[in-house]
Amino acid sequence: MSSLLLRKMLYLLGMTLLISFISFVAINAAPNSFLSAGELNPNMTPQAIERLKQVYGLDKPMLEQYVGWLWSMAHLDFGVSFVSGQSVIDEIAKRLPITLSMNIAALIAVFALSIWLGIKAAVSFEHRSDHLIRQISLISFAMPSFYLALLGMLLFSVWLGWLPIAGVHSVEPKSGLAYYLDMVYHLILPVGVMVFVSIGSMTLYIRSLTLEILKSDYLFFARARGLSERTILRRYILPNLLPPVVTLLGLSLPGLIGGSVILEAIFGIEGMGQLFYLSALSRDYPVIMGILTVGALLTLLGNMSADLLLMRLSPFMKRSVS
Amino acid sequence: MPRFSIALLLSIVLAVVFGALFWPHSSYTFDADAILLPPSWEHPFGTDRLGRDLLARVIEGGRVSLLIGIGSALVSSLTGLVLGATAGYFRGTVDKLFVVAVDLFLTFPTFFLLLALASYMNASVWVLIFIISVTGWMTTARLIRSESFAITQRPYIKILSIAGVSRSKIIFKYYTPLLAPIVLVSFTFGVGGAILAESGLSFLGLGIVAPQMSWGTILSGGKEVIDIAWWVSFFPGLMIFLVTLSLMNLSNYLQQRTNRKELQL
Repeated sequence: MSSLLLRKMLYLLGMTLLISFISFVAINAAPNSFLSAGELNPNMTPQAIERLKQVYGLDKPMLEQYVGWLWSMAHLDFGVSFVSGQSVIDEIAKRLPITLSMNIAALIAVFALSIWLGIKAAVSFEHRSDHLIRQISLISFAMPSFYLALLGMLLFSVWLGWLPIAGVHSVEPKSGLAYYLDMVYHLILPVGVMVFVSIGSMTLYIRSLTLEILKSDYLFFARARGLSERTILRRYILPNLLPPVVTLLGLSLPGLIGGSVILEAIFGIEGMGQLFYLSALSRDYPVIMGILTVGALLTLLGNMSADLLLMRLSPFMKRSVS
Repeated sequence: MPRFSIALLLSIVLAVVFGALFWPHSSYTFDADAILLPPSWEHPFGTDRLGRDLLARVIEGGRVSLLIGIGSALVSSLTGLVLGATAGYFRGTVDKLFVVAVDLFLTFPTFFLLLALASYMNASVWVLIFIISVTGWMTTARLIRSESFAITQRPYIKILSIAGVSRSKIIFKYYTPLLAPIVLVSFTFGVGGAILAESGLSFLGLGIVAPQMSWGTILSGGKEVIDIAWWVSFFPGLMIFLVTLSLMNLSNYLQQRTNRKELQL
C-alpha cells in the first residue's frame, strides 16, 4: 500500500520536473526574450546588451540555466523578478492573499451548492427539478466567464448601482472591520461569477455519482427495511459521496493559488492570475517558474493528503489507492 | 429530440453563412455619423466605436468563430480517437506512454501553453485551431481509451482474431466503428468548448487579428464602452452563449441516446 503511494508521489514528482523543464525551454526558446524591448532601443550598444545578459544569466546555454535554476530551487531560493527586481517570494506573497481568499470563498460555495443540487437532481431523476438543474448546469458550461462578468457589471453596477464596478477597495480609506467588509462588498460580483461558471461540471458529476449510489443493492435493501428518506440521505448517500468529494478537494488545492487571468483583468484585481499573465508577457522567467513550481508542489500535496485522508475514511480504499 | 436547440443552431449557422448576401451594411465601413448608436431598425444590433454596423460584424465574425469551433473540434476528436484507440487496442507500453502524455497535457497549465504557443505564431484561423486542439484532445482520448478496453474484451473481437481475420481489417472494420458514438458526442461538445476557448483567447488579446473578426474579438472590443454602450458586447456574447448552449444540449442528448459516460470538462 505505502509503496503504491510512494510510487504515485515519485510519478508526480517526475511529472513536475518534466513540466518545469518544458516550461523553461518554452520561455527561453520564444522568439522575443525579456531583453527584446531593450534591443529596440537605438541607444543600446551590443556590448550593453551582452552585459545585461550576463547580469541576468541569460548568456549561458539553456541547459546550464535550467540546472542552475533547479539547484537554487532545491535550496528554496526562488530568485529575483527581472521586471520588478523584488524577490519572487515577495511578489507572490503580495498577490496571494486576495486570490486565495476569493478562491476559498468560491470553492466552499461551489462544493456546497453542487452537492446540494447534484443530490437533488439525482433523487428526482428525470423529473422537473432534475431537468431544471441539468439545464442550469449546461448554462453554466456554456456561459463565457467574462460575458457573465460584463453582464453582471452592467446590471448590478451600471444600471442598479448596487455593487462597485471594479477594484478591491473603495477610494476612501477604511480601517478595521469596515476595511474587510468593504473588500467583501467588492468581491461579491467576481466570486459570484466564479461560482456560477464552475458549478455546472461539479453538479453533473455529483449527480452521476449519486445515481450510481441509488442503483446499488445496499440502497435497495435500505429502502426495503423501510428507512426514512432522511436517514437514507444521511447514512447512505452522503457517506458514499465523501471519497470522490475528498479526491476532488485534493485536486482543487493547486487551483487555489492560480487566479483567473480573465476575471482578474476584467474586475481590476491584482492577484496571482494577473501576475502570471504579466510575467508571461514580459518573459520574466523567475516569476513564471516560481508560480508553476508552487502550483506543482501544491498538486503533490493535494494528491497526497487526499489519498491519506481517503485511507483514514475507509479501510476499503487502502486497496484502491494506486 | 432537442428540437429547439437544433432549430436555433441551424438558423444561426444559416444566418452566418448567407447573411452577408442579404444584409446591406458592410462590416468594415466606418461611419463618423453613426458612432455607438443603440439598436434601431437601421442597425438592429447597434454600431460600434467606429460607426460600423454590429449586425454585419456579428455575421462576419460568426464565420470565423464557427470555423474555429468546428475545425478545432474536428482535429481534437480525431486526435483523441487515433491516440485513445491505439492505446486501448495495443495496451502495454503503448498505453503507458499514452497515460504519461495525457497526464502531462492535463497538468500543464493550459493558459501558459496557449500563451507560449501564441508567442511563436501570429494568430490566424489555422493557428488558433491548432492551439485550441493541442490543449483540448485529452478528454476525448481518455473516453475512447476506456471504451476501447471494453470493446476489445468482447468475445467476437477475440473470435475474429482467432479466425485469422487480419489485424488491420479488425481495427478498421470491426473495432473503430464502435467508437463513432463517443466521437460524435465529443465533437458536438468540442465545437462549443472551442468557441468558448477562442473567445477567452480574444479577451487576452491573443485572438484573431484585426481587420478579421470573431465573436470573441467583437465581444472583448466592447468591454471598454460597456458602461455607455452595452450592445457592443451584448450581441456577440449572446451568440457565443446560445450556440454553445445549443451544442451542449445536443451533445447531452446524443450522450443519453448512446448511453455513454458523462463528458467532463
